[in-house]
Amino acid sequence: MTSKDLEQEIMRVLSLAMDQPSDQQIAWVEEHYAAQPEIKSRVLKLLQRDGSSPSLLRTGGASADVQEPEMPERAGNYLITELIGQGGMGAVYKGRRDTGDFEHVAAIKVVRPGLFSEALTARFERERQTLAGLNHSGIARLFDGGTLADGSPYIIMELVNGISLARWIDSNPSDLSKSLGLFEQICDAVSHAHQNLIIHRDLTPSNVLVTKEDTIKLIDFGIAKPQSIEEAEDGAGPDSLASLSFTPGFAAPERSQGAPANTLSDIYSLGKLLQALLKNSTPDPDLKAIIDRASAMQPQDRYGSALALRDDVRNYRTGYPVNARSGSASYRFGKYLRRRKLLVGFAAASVLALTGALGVTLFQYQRAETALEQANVRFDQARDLSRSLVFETYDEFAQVSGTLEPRRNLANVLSTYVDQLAEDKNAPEDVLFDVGQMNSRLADLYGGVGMANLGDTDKSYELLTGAELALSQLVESDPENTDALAELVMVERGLTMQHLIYRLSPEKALEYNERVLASAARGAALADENERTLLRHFWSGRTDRLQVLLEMKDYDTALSNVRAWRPELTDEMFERLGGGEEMAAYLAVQEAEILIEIDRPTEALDPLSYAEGYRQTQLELAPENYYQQTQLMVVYMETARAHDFAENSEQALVANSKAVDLARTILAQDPSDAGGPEGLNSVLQNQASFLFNADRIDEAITAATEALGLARQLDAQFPDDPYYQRILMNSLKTVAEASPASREICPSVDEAATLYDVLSAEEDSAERNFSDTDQDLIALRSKHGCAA
Amino acid sequence: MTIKQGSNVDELLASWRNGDEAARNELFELLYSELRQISAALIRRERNSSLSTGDLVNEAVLRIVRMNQVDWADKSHFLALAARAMRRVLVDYARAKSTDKRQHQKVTLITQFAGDGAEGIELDALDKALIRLKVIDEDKADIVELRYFGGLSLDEIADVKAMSKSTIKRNWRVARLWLLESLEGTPQ
Repeated sequence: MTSKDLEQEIMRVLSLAMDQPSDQQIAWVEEHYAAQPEIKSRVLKLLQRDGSSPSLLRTGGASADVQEPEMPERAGNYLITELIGQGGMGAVYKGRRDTGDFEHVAAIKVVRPGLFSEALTARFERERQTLAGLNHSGIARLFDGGTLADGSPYIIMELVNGISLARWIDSNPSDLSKSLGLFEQICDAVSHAHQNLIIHRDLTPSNVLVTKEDTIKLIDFGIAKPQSIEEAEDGAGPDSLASLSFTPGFAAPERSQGAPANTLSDIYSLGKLLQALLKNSTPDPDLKAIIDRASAMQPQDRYGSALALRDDVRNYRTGYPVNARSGSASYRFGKYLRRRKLLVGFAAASVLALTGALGVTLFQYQRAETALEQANVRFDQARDLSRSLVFETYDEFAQVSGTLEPRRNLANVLSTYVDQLAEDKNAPEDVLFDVGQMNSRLADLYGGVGMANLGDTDKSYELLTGAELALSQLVESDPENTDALAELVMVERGLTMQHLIYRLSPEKALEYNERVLASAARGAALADENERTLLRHFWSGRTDRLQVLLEMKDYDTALSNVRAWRPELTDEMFERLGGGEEMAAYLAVQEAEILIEIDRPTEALDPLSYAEGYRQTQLELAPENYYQQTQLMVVYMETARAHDFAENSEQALVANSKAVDLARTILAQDPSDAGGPEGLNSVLQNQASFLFNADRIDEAITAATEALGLARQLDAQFPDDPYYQRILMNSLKTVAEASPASREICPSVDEAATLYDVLSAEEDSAERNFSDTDQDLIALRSKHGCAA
Repeated sequence: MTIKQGSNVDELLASWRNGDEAARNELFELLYSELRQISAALIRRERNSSLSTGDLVNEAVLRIVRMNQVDWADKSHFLALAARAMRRVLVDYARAKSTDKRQHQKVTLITQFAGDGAEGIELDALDKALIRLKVIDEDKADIVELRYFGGLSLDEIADVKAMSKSTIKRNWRVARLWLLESLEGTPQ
């Protein structure tokens, strides 16, 4: 087919597609042109554009596209000298100060009259005042503003000697490092604005200028836009102000549904901006992940702040792993194994470590679920801003734990927020709910369990108690308010964990856990739209309970509980929970771990084979499902442990070999994922141990040596990172343990000892099972006859 | 008024009807210079100029036709020709402006108040895309010319092209999407 024929065919198909009802066009093309991917993809791309740029290429539009607006003579103290640029709602001129006091040239932006109602013009004036306070090298300064004789509002701002980013992209097609450098500057500027509670609202390549020195300036700071969509009371019809106030393709999807702009909608636009910056190069998976996370459809999936986004781009530029991928399954691998450190080497495994890790995952999952549901709740802009800022600050904390400045920020945000809430006269219940929810979120920031936090657990506890009070009050006055009940359950789960982990009071934890189970059960029984959420809280509460019981070393109760609960997970319960099969597999592994812990390893094999069967079925459906692969690997590792405890080293080897194979598969699937080598390192160390026990010394040394190689590779990739130093230390120990007595091994033992010194100086000495290393090293020295 | 001799237009029109390309070119030049004058006010956005492009094209045609009492049936030919003349007027203007811009290459504080995605339509690039479209599908290119440059209504275009209004509408939508896509690939 010649290119002419192809284009004709594409237009013919497009025409046919457009004859279909608009909601069926895409499906129609996909169905009829599945066999012709080139035509299919072009037509779909064209269809996507339909309706996206209504004012481009309209009837008689050509003349309007070349029109010059009428040039005003002056604006305030400035004489207008020339037109710089223009758009549909106004124009930008160059102006010279002519009052004789000092020389100054500036850009003057004039909004055409008639487009803004009086109320919005007033809004524009107020916003102008706020903008005047912004002082950042990446934001064009605002000097003055006013109204022309004909009523058009104008502002006088810094004249920037530069070109638009859109133009810059075309003239610097493939300079990746320069592009990312500019992008980081843009994030800095946006972050400055956000910290001053200003949202840009229309971050596009046209609204970023690049100077000759490759520095950026943001322009059009929410100026030509109404402050919020809600204020344009008549909503977001196609011709309303709302639809004019953002740029399709760069505006967050929720905005087209009438949601107000907030910092997260700016983050979305930043993601799209990054994509536009990279349009001439092919972004690798890391960059793609950054773009995808920034421009996620759901606001809560995006980076919490412009700074977090900037830092991730910086991670990328400097060769560190990017956080955007940490939420993905491939990075969870490492996290999971991090908590499984007891499996490394020859130490006995800890049940607590595993329950802790998975319990936390479920906990966080529930939190995301709650956030998602509450996104549907209407909040006015003040609340929205505060909320975004809390999320933003959250990320800041996650990175620089324990610093004073973010704490102060947070306190400010909170007090501002609470002040604003106090002004809200019409919805006291709403306010209680918000206070509860925000306190609970803040509690996480200060000292939540299982997430990066400020380490101020007392403050966290206090906030949780505050949240509990507000929410209990609310539930008391309205027992069927399941939103509040769900949040209360979350808060009580938080209190359970606080008592268990930080206050070392499992009895108190048990008390809270009982409340959690009772409230969640009551809420789920109300069977309204929150039923599933509450039911999930209920089951997560049960996993909490196991954790508490294990901490109390009450293995018998834990075992009888988990054995009573598992049969409750019937098909009907799966249906109600939506994803209950995962819970069943998880509890099966829990049961197995308890059994191994109380030295009944052969009984553990039955629940393990249930979990194995479920995981394998899932993998048949989706062979490359990373989560299932890692979970199946865990099952194999546990099975190996059970056999090992039952002193059946042959069977242990068989099971662990499966884990090794799976770890290799996972590694091959994504070699760039640090979790891959880490996982393989861990199972190889176990393998060395099992081989050693089976008296297959040479093979044990081979496995240990391979594990050490992987540890060295990780240590080189992440130098001076204690986490990887610990892996290296354990791998060195494993080699020394597997090897027959020989002085040649002494350098490895010495290296492990050096790492131990470094780590024990840095790490919290209370950390479980770390002190054993000291004993191990002494034993290894004597085994190999090394000097002390 | 730049139309020199009424009778001349009559003859030109008759010759064109008989397939004389040179006559058509001459008519085009007449329309072009007429339009260039009457559209200057529109482009400069002078006060009291409330005419639309479509008004201008129609007016240009009417002036010539009425003055020379030419058969009304020829109006549609004139409209098509006038739309083409208008296209040249506007593209010339846009080119002159962008040459000017390149010479300065300084501040381009182009700001997208209305927010239409890219930097609006570059008529020069559009003109080139339209030449390509004409090779692929002449009818569609004509429709864009008549509608976007000529400002003609769907009914008028249907008359000019002797096609149904719904066909015109469908072709317009398809051509528009095709052009927007091909403009996106063009550095602006």
